[in-house]
Amino acid sequence: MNENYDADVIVIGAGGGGAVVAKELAEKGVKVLILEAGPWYGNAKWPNPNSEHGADASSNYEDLSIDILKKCFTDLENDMNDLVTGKLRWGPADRNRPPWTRKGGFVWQNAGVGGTTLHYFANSPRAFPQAINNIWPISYEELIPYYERVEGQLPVHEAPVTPKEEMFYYGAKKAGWQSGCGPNLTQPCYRQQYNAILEVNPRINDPDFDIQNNSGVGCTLRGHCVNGCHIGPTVEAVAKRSTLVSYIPRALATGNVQVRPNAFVIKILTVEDSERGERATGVIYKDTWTGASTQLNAKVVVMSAGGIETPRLWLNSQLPQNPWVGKGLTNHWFDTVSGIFDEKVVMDVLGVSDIWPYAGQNSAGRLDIPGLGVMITMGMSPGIFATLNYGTSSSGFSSLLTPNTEAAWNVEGLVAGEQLKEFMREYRRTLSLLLFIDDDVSQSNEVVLDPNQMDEYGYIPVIHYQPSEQDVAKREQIATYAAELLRAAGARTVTRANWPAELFIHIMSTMRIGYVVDTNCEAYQVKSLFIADNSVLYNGIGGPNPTLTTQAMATRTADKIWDIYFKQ
Amino acid sequence: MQNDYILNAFQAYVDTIIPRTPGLAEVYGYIQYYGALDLQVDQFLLYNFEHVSMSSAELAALLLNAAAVQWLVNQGYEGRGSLDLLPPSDRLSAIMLLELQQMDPRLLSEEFLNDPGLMVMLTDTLLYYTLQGYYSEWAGYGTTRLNPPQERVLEYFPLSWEQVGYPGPSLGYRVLRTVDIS
Repeated sequence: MNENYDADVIVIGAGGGGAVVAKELAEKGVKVLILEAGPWYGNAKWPNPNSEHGADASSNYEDLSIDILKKCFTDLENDMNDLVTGKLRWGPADRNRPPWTRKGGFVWQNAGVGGTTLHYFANSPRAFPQAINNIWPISYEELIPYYERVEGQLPVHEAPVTPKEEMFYYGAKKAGWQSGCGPNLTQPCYRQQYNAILEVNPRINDPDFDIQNNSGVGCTLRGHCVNGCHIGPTVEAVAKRSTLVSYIPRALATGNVQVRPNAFVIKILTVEDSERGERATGVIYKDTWTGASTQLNAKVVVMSAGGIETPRLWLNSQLPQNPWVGKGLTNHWFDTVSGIFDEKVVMDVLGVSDIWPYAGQNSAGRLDIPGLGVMITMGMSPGIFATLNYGTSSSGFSSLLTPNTEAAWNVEGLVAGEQLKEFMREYRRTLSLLLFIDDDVSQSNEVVLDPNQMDEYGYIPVIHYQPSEQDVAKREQIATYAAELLRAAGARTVTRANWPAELFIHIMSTMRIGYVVDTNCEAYQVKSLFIADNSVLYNGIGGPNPTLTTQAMATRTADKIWDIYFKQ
Repeated sequence: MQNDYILNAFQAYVDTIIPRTPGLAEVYGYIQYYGALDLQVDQFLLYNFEHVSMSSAELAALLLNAAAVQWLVNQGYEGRGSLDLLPPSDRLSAIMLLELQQMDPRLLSEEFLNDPGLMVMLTDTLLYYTLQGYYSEWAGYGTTRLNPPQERVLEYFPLSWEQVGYPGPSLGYRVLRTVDIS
């Protein structure tokens, strides 16, 4: 490493993409420094990550501590996921301080080592080939070896079946959908999730298996994927494969990676090179506890701050103008449809009395419909369950609406009052489906800076997202399919939320390949500056959950960085 | 502004979304009687609204009471009003005006006129906090529920979990099924 550098490569963000690019480069011998804005859970250098600053950095695999992780991840949904005070919020480690502000809607992201994979469901399907081939500047076939590398590394498995998935598959079959399809999907198909969760502990159903004192490896179907998984004997063996427990430990094991949590990057530094034009030379970050600024230099900088913060950082750094920076946002525009079942029906189909939305992985079954979108099973603890199914809608309160007798569902919109309590009383026999669509790319869907409002890290991001007419039609169609599936399974009451557009979960394509970055994911206008997160996706990949594709792209980008800047 | 003004509005709101339900109690057992006021969910709203970067508890209360005035105007009344003074059976209709953004801007304070997203954000947040405050573990923090988050201790099994049949966090379930779906 050149002695003027603090690292060969600085990676901004230790989430789904940044941790991957760091590990892949470090294994080739490149010295990598990761700067992460949020806390680090499960590291001996931060025994109390939410109440003390702790150390500045960790670069030692031996620092990882499963005991600290288990202490931090309490399985309690408000403690973990509250948008204001939760440990997995978008905000600083110090929970007495407010979360970081965005405008334009709710953004469900996590700050911390692991990023939003800390609370993701770990669904890891590949893109639909038809959304890539002849559309992206690279082909689906070129992605396949990178998918395979990530699938092997995480690893990715077929998800287990528990009662809620069995009811879903029963309904899908009765509704006429086909099953039996591989990972490269071209036709509608229902299937077990491919997810990044270790296989189920083989003794789980054995009455003699001691769940309370289990120190084995494997998922225990306890339903806390979203609240932060800590099941496993070591950090690296935790069942749900957030990058906190998969790529970060592997990166540390190389001896070539240092991670600094609580480090919010506020500026990309560049110089004008007479031969090559503008090029990145380093970053400035602020310590989120002390506010102190630090400048660091490197040969290459990788932005992996996510679909909102990456364009925000570009704009706040006053990097060159580009009409597609922050533009082209896709978000899959989600919705939920749920079915409440009578006990007799559940008994007849499953042989047990309940569907148990809180038991099993949060999402283990899916129906993919290329050209339209995706529906997945979703079982959650009651606070999140109530919010997503009955408390998120642009229709208003269902009890005040004129019933739509043409609709495939009985109830649409917000549920309140006695009806809410009546529905929640049947929580244990409710099967929820989370839907998301293949939404169009539009340049007017964007992340921009608020012209006036700043926080300590610069002008805050504002999101504008308006679905197209085609998006509206797709979502109505998939909601209808979901309701029909639940009816076919025997649901007595089917509810549809009709989520507003301003709720953001899969934030993608705001720094698109072919527009902002070249096919190596290096910025066209700033050399030595790469992007490895959801923002480089060309589109919403047809509807599937984007993390695996982002991780495949990050693996590929690491190879490209090596080839261009480090290979001798 | 007095906390009483804010809490009165929040109490009227949470009681509308998750009321006490004697009818359900009669059919399904007494546990189903209790509602958001019994778990003091209004205090959860106040805490969270006060712990974001721009404290917005007062704005949220102003918005709820503006909705009450709008509802009265729509019924042909004039003058002042607040959500807690509306009959409980009419409150949901008033809140619906916020959900559907059917407010006369003249009834809103200046902050809302300068920021078109503010009303939507507060309206969504009120409902989110109410459902989180009631159905998550928050009420179980008991005497520590309004402490800073790092100093809360689970003291009780939340009554709402009993209402819905959630057994609480678990280290595992013996629910693996063997099904051939292909």
